[in-house]
Amino acid sequence: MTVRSFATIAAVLATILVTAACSIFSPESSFAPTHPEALPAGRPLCSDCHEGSQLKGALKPYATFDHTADFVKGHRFAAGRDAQVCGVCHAQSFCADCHAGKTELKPSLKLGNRPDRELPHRGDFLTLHRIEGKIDPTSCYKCHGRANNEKCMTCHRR
Amino acid sequence: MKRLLLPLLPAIMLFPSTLLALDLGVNGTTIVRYEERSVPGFDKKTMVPATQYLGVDVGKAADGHLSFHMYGWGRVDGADQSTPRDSSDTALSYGYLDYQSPKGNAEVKVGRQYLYEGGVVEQLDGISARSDLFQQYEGFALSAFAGKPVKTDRVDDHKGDLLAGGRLSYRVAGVTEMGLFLTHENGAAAYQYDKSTNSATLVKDNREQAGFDVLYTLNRLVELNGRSLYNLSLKEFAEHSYVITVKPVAGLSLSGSYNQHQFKGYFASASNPFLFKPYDADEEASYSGSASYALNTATELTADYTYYDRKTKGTSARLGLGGRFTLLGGKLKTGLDYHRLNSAKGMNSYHEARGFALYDPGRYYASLDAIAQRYDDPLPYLNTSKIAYEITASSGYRLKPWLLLSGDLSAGANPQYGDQVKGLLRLTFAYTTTTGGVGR
Repeated sequence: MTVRSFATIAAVLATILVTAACSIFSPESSFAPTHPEALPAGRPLCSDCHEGSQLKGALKPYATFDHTADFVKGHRFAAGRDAQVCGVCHAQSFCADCHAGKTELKPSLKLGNRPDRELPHRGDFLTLHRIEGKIDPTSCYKCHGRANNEKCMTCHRR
Repeated sequence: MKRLLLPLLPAIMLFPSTLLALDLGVNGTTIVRYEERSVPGFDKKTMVPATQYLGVDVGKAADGHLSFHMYGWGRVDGADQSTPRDSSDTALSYGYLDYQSPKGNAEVKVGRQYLYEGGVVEQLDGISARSDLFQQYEGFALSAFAGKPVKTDRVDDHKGDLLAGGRLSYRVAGVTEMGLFLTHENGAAAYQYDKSTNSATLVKDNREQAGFDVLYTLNRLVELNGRSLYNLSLKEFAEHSYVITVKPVAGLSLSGSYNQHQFKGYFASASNPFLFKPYDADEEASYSGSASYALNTATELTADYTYYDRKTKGTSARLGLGGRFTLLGGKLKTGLDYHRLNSAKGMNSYHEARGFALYDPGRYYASLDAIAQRYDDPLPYLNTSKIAYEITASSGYRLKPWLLLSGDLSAGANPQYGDQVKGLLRLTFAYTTTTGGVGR
């Protein structure tokens, strides 16, 4: 096979591949990357304004994203499915306040000016973790299992 | 990193971003702490660590769809060392370029980033992409990622040199979303722990996980969320986590959840297998129920109950009540919580109470936060006190709408350290040219 015929075949194959790849992607408009209006302080209920309607793109009712107490507790499910929707209102640093591979201060100390936020390990958690870690160590693992846990290593050695 | 970024800060803030039609956001927090620590048998220490957090967000670059996001921190110690390791430290949490296509919710990120895809939660140096698929079969979406997992400070952190995976999902508008996800980490150690010899044995030199996640909604009254995670490397289930929520009337939300973990599959690739022991005889299940009722926009009451069953330790139960109250047109936020934990036989139980108030009329704010635990018995190896408490007072003044100077003072006592008094000064800035709701 000559170089020219090889190049021709490669070009045809590449064109077919690119065309096929492009045709599988949806041409529908994306939803807005940022919320068009500033939101009031506090936990928003999306359905208060978007009553009865559906978030285009996510294909879910706005009520699915209402920030109720239950939503805040189980927000891992929404984040795993619709991280782009989270990003409409939240900067990534909002998540990093608690979920970071390596942290310097516990969230409730860094944000001691925000007692209204749901933050882990308030008060003397160092004593408490002797009990909580035995009852359910999987709750610790979610954040500390594969992250930078040098502080844990100070005591938890072989 | 701090040394590199701090000199750039004034330049970034003063840069005429409007000339470039960019959205620019710079935020940061400077925290200086003061702590005196006196532990019997050790030298008295005075610690004055200063920590700088810094985030930069640049949006609407290129054709208006390209953005850059970065966040990290650095710390230097004044006086004595504040940690056992170093007198200074830094970390880059994330720093990536993000292209969001105007079509198909397609997105490509390149750089250090966090991944949340179904049950995949990773920090990665690499590339990720996602897009909705097929106009004629609306509902399919695909995401994929590849790169190097972000290592920790430990040389032996059991992380690999290549991480790749993705998630395929299908949505039926307003009814359901189901996803299948897969992760492969090459070179990541998977361990099994032997309790009789207190040793961890390497059983696989890669980490492979597959999972399923689901959302199902019924008439906006019932919602089921859940996921299951399977450890392909060890052929063991790792996690089942499901929550059902019912909203029978406006303001009332009732939920029940079931969580179950097999330690052999779930902890196999822990950075520290002696802390999270992948012991094949151990597993944990929890069943919980909660109710929240918003009487009006100012008052929300909650109740929760969780029953824990750990195979090797026994059963425990936690019961709690709480309330959140917003007064004075939103300027005053308060909350009260009480929890009781009845632990398994041989473990300590405790009561916990917390109350807080935050008054923020605009130019300044003041808050008070108090939390206390009362243990049923003294804790082993600590002092004999059964009470722990901490009261934190915080106050701040907005020098500019984007610049807040604040300070915290906390006092307390606990079985670990005895009496403690701590203080910190905090300078928070958040400068942005963005007019939308982003950045909270």
